[in-house]
Amino acid sequence: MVTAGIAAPGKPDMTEQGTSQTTPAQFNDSGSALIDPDLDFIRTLSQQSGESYRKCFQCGTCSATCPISPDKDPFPRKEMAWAVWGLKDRLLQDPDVWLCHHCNDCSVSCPRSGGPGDVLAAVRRASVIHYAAPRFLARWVNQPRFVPLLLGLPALLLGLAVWLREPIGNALGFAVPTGDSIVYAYSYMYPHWLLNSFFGIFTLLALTAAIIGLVRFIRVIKAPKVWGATGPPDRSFVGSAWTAIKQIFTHDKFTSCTAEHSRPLSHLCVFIGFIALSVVTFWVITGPINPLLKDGFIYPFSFWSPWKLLANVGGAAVFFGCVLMIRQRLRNRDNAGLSTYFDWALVWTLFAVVVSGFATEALHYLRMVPHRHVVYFIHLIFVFALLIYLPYSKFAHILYRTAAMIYAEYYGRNGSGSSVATSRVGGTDDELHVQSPTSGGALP
Amino acid sequence: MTAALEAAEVGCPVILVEKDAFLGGRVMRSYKYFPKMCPPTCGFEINTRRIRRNPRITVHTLSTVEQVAGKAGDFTVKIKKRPRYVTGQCSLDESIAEQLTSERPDDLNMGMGTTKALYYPHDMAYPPFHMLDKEALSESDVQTLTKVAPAGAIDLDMAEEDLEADVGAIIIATGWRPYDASKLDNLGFGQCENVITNVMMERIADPRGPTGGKILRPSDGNSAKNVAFVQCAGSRDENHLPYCSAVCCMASLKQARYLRESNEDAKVTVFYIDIRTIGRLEKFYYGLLEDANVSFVKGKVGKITEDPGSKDLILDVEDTIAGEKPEQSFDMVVLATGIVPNTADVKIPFELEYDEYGFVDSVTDVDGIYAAGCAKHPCDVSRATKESTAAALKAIQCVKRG
Amino acid sequence: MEDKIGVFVCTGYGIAEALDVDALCKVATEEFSVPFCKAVESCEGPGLAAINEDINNEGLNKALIAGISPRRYPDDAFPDGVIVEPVAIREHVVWSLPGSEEDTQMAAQDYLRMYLTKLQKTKPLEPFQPDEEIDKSLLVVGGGIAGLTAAVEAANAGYDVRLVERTDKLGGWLAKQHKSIPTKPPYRELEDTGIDALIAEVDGHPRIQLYTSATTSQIIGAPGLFDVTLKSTGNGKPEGEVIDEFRIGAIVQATGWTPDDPRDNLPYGGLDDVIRNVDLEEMVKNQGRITRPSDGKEVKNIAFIQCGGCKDKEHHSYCSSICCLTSLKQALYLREQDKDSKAYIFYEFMRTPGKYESFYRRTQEDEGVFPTRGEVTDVQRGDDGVLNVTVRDTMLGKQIQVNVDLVVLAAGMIPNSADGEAIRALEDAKITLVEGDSETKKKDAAETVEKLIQHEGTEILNLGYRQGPDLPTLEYGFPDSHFICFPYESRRTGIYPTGAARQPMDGLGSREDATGAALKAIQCVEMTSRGEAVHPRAGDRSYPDFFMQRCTKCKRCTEECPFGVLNEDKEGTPLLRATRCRRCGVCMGACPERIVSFKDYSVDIVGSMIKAVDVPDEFEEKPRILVIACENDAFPAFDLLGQRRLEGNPWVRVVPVRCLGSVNFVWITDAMSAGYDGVILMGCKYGDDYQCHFVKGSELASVREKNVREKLEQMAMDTERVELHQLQIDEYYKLPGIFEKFTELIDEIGMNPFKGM
Repeated sequence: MVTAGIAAPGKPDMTEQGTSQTTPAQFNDSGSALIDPDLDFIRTLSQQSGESYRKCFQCGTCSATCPISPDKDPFPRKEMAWAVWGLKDRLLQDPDVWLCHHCNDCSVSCPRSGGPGDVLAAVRRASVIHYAAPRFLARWVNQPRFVPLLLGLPALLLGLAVWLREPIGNALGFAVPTGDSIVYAYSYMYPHWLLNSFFGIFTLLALTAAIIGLVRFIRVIKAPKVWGATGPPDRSFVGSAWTAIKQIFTHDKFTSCTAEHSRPLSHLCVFIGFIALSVVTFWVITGPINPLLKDGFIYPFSFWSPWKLLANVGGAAVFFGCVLMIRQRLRNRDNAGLSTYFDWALVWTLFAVVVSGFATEALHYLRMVPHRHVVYFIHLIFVFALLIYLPYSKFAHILYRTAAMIYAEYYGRNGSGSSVATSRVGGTDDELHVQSPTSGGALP
Repeated sequence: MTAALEAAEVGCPVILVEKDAFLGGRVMRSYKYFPKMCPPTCGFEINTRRIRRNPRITVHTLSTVEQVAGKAGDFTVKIKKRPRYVTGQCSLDESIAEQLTSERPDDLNMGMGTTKALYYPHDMAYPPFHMLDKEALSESDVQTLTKVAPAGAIDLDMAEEDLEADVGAIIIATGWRPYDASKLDNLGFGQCENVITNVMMERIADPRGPTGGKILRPSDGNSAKNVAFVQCAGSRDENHLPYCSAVCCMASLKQARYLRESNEDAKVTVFYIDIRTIGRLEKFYYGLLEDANVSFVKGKVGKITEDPGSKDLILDVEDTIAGEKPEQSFDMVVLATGIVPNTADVKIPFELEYDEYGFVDSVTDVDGIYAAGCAKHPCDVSRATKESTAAALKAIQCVKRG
Repeated sequence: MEDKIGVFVCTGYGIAEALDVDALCKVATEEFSVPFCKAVESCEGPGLAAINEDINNEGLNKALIAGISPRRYPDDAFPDGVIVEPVAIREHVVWSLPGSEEDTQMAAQDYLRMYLTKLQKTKPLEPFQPDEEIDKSLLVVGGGIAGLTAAVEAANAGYDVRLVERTDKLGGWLAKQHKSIPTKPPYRELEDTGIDALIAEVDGHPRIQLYTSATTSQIIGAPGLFDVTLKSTGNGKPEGEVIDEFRIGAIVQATGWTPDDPRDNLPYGGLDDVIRNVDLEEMVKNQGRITRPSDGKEVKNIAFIQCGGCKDKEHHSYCSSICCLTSLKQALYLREQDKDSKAYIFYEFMRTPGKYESFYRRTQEDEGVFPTRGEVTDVQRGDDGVLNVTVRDTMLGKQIQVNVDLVVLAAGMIPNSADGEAIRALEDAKITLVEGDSETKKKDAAETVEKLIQHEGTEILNLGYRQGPDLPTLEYGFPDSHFICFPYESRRTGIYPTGAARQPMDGLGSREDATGAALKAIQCVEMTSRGEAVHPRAGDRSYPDFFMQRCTKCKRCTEECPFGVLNEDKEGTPLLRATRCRRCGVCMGACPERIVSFKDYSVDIVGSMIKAVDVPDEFEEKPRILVIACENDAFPAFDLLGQRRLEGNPWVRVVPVRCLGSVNFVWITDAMSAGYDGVILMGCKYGDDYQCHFVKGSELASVREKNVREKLEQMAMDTERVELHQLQIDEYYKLPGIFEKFTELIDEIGMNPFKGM
């Protein structure tokens, strides 16, 4: 199938329409584009986002109401058109779908109940699978019927690890706790060298996969024409990256959403909590060899150790965030948008990780044997699922969305030059102020 | 009204029941008809003369059908007639109304402005009598009236009447009302002063309307120079009216002409999804394309916000052909609100089928009961006229069958 | 019978306060020596009852009520057989002029004089009854959905119908359709056309006489008295052979439409696999599959091009209103045929009005239907026979291309109508071409022939009318004359165009339209049999009477009548066909010999009313302005002027006329010699968006006005003394301005020099 790139030779006479002559920058490919709708892709999207998306009649309400969509070639209207026409390639190459935070303002006001927000979500899912390496794994991760396999695999591996820890340990000359050391923490079950190397190896694999996917993606979106530019902009890439990262940390794009207010909050909790946990984990793993804390690094931490506290607070944040997310998705279907397996898988995995984590901790303090080991085992399974399947699950959005947002900033798509977009995220002067959703009579 | 006349002129006795104080319905609130830009009063004058001339028509204004019993060829209809408090024995004169103090909201002008409690429904009112709004009438005015009104002209004790009639067939021409624009929370009606509806525009443009025909912005009374028409304000929208109201496009184009004809510098922008100027009406659209001050933008307006200072309106909309979200600021916005059948809330007191929107189902007519016009589906004057003519024949057939 | 006139002067409504009622009575009793004059308190309700009582007791056969506007009385307000003339001195004098002033009193008295004069000259009406009996059966021309419906509906109402179809099959275009667009809630699924059932109903109907393969070779006569001759179109019987001759009362013209062929205007129109929606429809109907004309291969992908790719001012400037729905429907045909097929629809505007929006939604839900706004700029045929379609300004981007097996053009609907007037003009021109007495005449004729030649042989009804064999058509060839308020009106009484011949419409619309047209036809025969006029003076029992002895055969009446009422014999003598008449009086206005008159409306009556006004001599500085106003618009405006208490003008005297077209310009010259200082004619808007209910009346007046100016010049009069205004009822507020300007003008040019001569 020929790529559905779209061009503008010939000077269309639109005077009758009274509209401007400008060519949507994204369509600046040379040569007219032959289009061939991909019916299978349409079926997938219908399945993922509901048939009614095809009722889109291109009124543009979605682009108009989107709080973060820029002035030039705004989304998601054009994406809706491509989706209705099953233009798979064009959608997979479209960074805009990653700029969308699925706040669903568009879906709420869509006169055809076409749910543009959900369509973009479905496209993101398709992209994750498209860019993933190896692709088959991504397909598995995103289909319920593979759950047993996907959870069984880590269970098996972790089981093997317990079973083989002594022979391996002896072979490699690592200390293997013996019977009476059962009072010791989980290191009886998984000595640190084992745990670290086990997760180390798989994390490295996952990381490689992630990087491959990301590179594939960036190869596409770094092209100036994708951004309607002729060449690389005279803007510092690092600077843009920094701005984008700041945006991500402050969630300021996310907060401009009006349809579902608690959403940014829940995401922020999970986001911060997850970072906290990662930091602690990193510290722990690198503890023994970390020059920063040669001395006084006692593991396991005491309950009051700042590390332990950080971990617990982080865990709590993730827990709280997950609960919120689950609540929104169940309670407020209309505004939260469609919840697919793609979404649920991530939320529940996260949830399972923190819940099992806290359970393990609790049982640990209660010195309950062997329950704590069973729960710990389960905990590790979910941690595995969360981390190792990251490039294939919705979790991958931390890669793709970040990349997209950085390049958007780099090419000035996020506002600079497009007042509406900037105004959305807290513009100051009057005219912008009126536009920002936090003012103006028209808000419910 | 048309159905009644057409049937009566064939030679068939007709009872015409109208809930308002006057005949004519919605069109009496229109300034001009598209596409000829001619006044509804012109055809209406002919129709009132036809009624005056035709002894076979009995008109009951201020009346509603309370009960329908029986079957095709033999219905018994109970009619409730509200009191007018004006007897019609001696027609009144504006000077009498002038002497009253109590006023009431002017429903003819969509609540813009007021009238005296004693008022002449409109210039062409038929029957040609004043109407007295007793609720609005103050005690002192009661005194005044009894003093100044000619003997027998006014009867404050006039009671509600219950009438009964035997008819062979029934025609439902209960018409429509505009969709409640305040439900369109994104479009700022009721929150932004300068956002009005198309039905209000009809009155504002009419020299006999609340502004004497000057098209002024409500907020400061300055004449509107840069006006946006927002099409499909509620229509073609599954959150509001999933169907197309069929007349809004032409209505807006017509109102664009009002503006352009009243002010040569006025600018008009029409935001649309599809311009639906069907049949020979297309010419009207072509006409406006010639006008440099009228522009058409394909894109549905997503949101309207008000500039607190200037009270100007900022529109969030994508020009979908250019693929841009231009800054759009206007000094007045007209919402093309759609058509809701009156039968959506007040049903006919008889076992009838309605479609999901509350229109009288256009196909599964009960034998002997026939619908016409906007009771059946959204349509313009011409379509409503031909449908009522058709309904008249169906009714006559039914009566002849007995 | 000897007239016995009574006058009632109403004192209520502040009339007595503003006017000297006794003086008014004196006008009646002394100037007109009316035997009975009475001041009454009211002329409504009990007041009116009292008046009617007096009328009966006094044995009056004519009465004048100086009180409220005639527009406030129903026709049955007065005793039968008594001619009552209500005079609106309340609205036109008391309410619009300052009270108790000499000029106001003069106005009131003048109005009394005018209407007493009218009353004296008005004769009782006798409804027109032809010698032969009025036939109440109907002729329906055209056996398509509209024609069939009209026939069945009229027959079911108890009227005999004769249905004539040109081809050998009934059903028209609908019979050629596979399925029809949804007509029932929820308006989602395609339906059976239902045409077969309808045809069966027509076939078996005892009241319907059916003629196929037949056309109307001649229709002479008038409503209630049409004599029709049918001839064969050559299926079975030899072509041209007379099939039948019969009399009918009224005609429904349901001659349908012909598809446009946009291919002629398109660069890619010549490609084999570029067809029209009608062709696709027949293909599916006949062979059940959609295949490619070029190689018979089954079609997988289709591009539907709306507006035939060329709806613009040059080619097909109106919208055919059903093409969008048709393409959506046909897209579903393709989808049923092959689940992997793709149907592209390129439109400028998707037009699915009203509840058809549901059908649009339903087709969108189908995964293989791809509608987008876009303009097809080119179609190229590839070597593999695939058609490559280029579209610009789409919703997917500035320019896209798709490959399809078949391109379907939405062809517009052209009404099957013929322009009777054009055909007649063509014939006349041809004759002049041969017999013309001057070269210039012949030259003009040649031009006309060239201009109108495309009308040659387009006759459909073949009416025996002086003004041509078919209904005159308006823009785009649609024959309806008042499509907003009175959609069935045409310019030939008793002939009602319907269905796609009247304007583009779908099947459901045609059924409704035809049912209504059937009613209008029935109404026409009923009213005609009662001797009443049809729209717009529905129920009027007067009719024109021609005093033939004085006729000069100038043909003005026969040419100018908007409704083709008058035929001509060889010498050009007008032959009245009274049941065609709409009672507008245009003939009366046209006739230089003033031989046309109605019993209650004639050159003499109005002329005398004008002259009845007491014109003061020029030294009194009281000018007199005559306003001749159309009874439907300008005249009611004077009522509203009073109702709204706006300031009228004391110099003005207004006379209502049925139509400005009925103004005989002798009235103006008479007025001038009678000493009026100026005349204002007020009529309806004319031109493309005319509002005149007699179509041409006000326009004719504007033409004649020019002749009058010449006349005035001959009389050495300033031509500015005559003005023509187009005034709508709701423009009553403009009246004071008009009068002010006119009086200023009079002040400038001075009083009428003929005063007091």
